[in-house]
Amino acid sequence: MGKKRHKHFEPDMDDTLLDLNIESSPFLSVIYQKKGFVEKFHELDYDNQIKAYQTLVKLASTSNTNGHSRYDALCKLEYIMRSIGLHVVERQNCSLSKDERLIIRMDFYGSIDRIQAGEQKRKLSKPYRFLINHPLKKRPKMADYDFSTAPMWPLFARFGSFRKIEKDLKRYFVKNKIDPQILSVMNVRDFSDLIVRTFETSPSEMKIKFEKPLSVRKRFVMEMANIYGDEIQEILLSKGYDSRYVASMLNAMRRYGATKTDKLIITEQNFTERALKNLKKHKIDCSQFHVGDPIPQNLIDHLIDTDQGNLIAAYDENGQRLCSAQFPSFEVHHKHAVSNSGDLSNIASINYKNNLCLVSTDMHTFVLHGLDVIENNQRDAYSRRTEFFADDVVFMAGFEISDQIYHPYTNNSTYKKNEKEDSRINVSYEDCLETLYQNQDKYLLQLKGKDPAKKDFDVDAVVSMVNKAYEQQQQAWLQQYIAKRKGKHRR
Amino acid sequence: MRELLNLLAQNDFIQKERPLDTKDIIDVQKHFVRNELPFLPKMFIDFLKIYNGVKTEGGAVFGIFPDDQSLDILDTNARYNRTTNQVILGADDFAFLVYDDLQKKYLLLDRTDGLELDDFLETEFSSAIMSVLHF
Repeated sequence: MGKKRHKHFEPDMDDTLLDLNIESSPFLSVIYQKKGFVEKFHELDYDNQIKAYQTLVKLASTSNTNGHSRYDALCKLEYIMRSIGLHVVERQNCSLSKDERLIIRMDFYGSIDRIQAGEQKRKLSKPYRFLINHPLKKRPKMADYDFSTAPMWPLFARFGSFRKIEKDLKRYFVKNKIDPQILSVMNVRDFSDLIVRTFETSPSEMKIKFEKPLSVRKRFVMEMANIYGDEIQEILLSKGYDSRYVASMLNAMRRYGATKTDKLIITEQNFTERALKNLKKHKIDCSQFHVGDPIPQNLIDHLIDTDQGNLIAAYDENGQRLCSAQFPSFEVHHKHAVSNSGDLSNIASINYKNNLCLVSTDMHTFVLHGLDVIENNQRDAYSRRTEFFADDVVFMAGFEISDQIYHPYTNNSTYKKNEKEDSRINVSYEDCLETLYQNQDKYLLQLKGKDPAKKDFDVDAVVSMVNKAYEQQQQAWLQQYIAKRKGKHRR
Repeated sequence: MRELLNLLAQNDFIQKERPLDTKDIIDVQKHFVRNELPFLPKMFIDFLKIYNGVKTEGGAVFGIFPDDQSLDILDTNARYNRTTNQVILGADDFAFLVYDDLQKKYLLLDRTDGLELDDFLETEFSSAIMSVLHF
C-alpha cells in the first residue's frame, strides 16, 4: 500500500473547518475532549495525529486565541509529548558565538561554501587578503607553518575532521609560498577560505567538500541503516508503507546515506513479468530467473548504479508506477541544539552520533521543530525547543514509543576515544579573538610601515573627507536658500 | 545566478520543482502583504521561475504552491515567522535563510535563537541560496 505524503494542514477557522465534526475529522476529539485525550490521540491514525498535533501547537501559540483554550492546548501538548518521550525545554539564548556555530555547520555537512569575490572584502580579514595574494619569493618549509601560532585554529582543531586536514592546509601554503605569519592573523572565515582553496577542484566550484569520503551526516544515516535496518523496516511496515518502498529506502540509506525520496527509485524485490521483459530487452541475462523469484541485491545495486533501475521499477496493482515522492523522507536531527552547546565541555560532541537522530520529515517539521520561530528582538528572549527525555533515541518515525529506536552510543569505544581526543583542546572563544585582534593590529601597523604609499593614501579616509565636504556644502546652500525665502516673505 | 542554476541543473540528486506559474506570484505577494510580511525579492522570484523549490539532503529552498507540500513558502512562514520585516526563503536543520526587507539583505539565522550566522547582499543571491543547500 502506498501512503500519500502528508499534506500540510492549516488549522484556521475558515468556513470549511466550521463544517468539521468528530465523525468526519477524528482528530477533533483530542481537541474537544477534556479527559482521556492522550489515549484518544494514540487511537488515531498517523494523519489525524499530525492534524491534532498541529492544531494544538497553533492554539497554544496564536495570540488571538482566548486564554483558556490556549492554556488547555498547552497542557494537552505537554501530556501528549510526555506520552512519546518528549518535553519542551526553555533556555536562555546566546551561549555560543556565531563563529563557533559556523564551524559546527562545516563539520556536520563536511563542506564549505566559497566566499565569492564580492563578499571577500566584507568577510575576510585585510591581513589575510593581503598575505594570501602576495606570495614570498622563496618557498618556505612545512615546519615553518606552526598552527599553534594561529589564535583561531584551536576552535577548528577541537573537531577531528579539521585536525585531519591540517597537513593539507600546510601543503597549500608551501606550494603557494604563503608567508607563514599568515596563521597569526587569520579569522574563522579566513580559515574557511583557505580550506576552500586547498580542496577546490575548479575555481568555479561553489560548495567544496573537505571531509572525505563522507560527511558526519551521511555516515550516521548509513550506520543507522546498517545496524538497525531490520528494526526500521519493521516500524515502517507497521505503518502500512509498501514493502518495496521500505526495502529501496533502506538500500539507499545503506549505500549512499540518502534520506530523501524524490529521486529514490522504488524497485521490485521479486521478478515480475514486466521486469523480466525489460531486462531481456536490454540484453541483461536473467534466463535463470522466473516470475516471483527474489531479485538478487547485487543485481538491484548494479542496475541502480548504471542508471538502469527503471527496468525493475515497482508498479502498483493498477499498473501505475510507485511514486517515491508520496512516501516519507527522513532528516537528521540534532537532539541538543547547536545554539545551546556553549555549556558543553567538548563542543565537538554536538555532532557526535549520540546527539543525532534519524527522523521522518513530518515528525521533524511538525514536532521536533514545531516550536521554532523567528521573531523581532529574539535575542533577548528564551528559546523553546522540543527535546527527548531519553538521550539515546536514534530513530523516530511516528507518535508511538514503538516508532522509536534507542542506541547507547556513549558506551561505544569509538565514542569514548573521540571524546578523549576532542576534549584535549580547551579554549575560550573570547581569548582566541583577543589574541587575533592584537596580532592583526600589529601586522597592519607593520604593513603600513613597509609600504609608504599606504601611509599617504587611504582611500576610505579620502572618501569620508569628500562626503563630509559635500554635506557641509549642501547644508550651506540650504541655509542660504532658507534665508533668501525668509527675506522674500518679509518684503 | 547562472552558475547556481547550472550547478543545480547538473546535479541529479537534487529535487527540483517545476517552474513557477507566474499567475501565482500576484496571489502570493498579496498574501504576504495581508499577513504583514514583506514582498518576496525579485531575484528570488526569478529563481522560482526556473525552480519553484529545491530540496537537498538536509536543506531546502521554498517555492510557491509547489507539488511537494513540504516546500511551501506560505506554510513555512505561517508556521515559523512572527516578524514583519523578514520572509523565510529556505532552511536546513540549523538555520533559516530569510530576506530582511529593512536591511535589504539575505540573512542566515539560527533556528533556535535567531542569531545571525551569515549575511548576503542582494547581489549575493547565489551564495545566500547555497548556504542552505547541502550536497
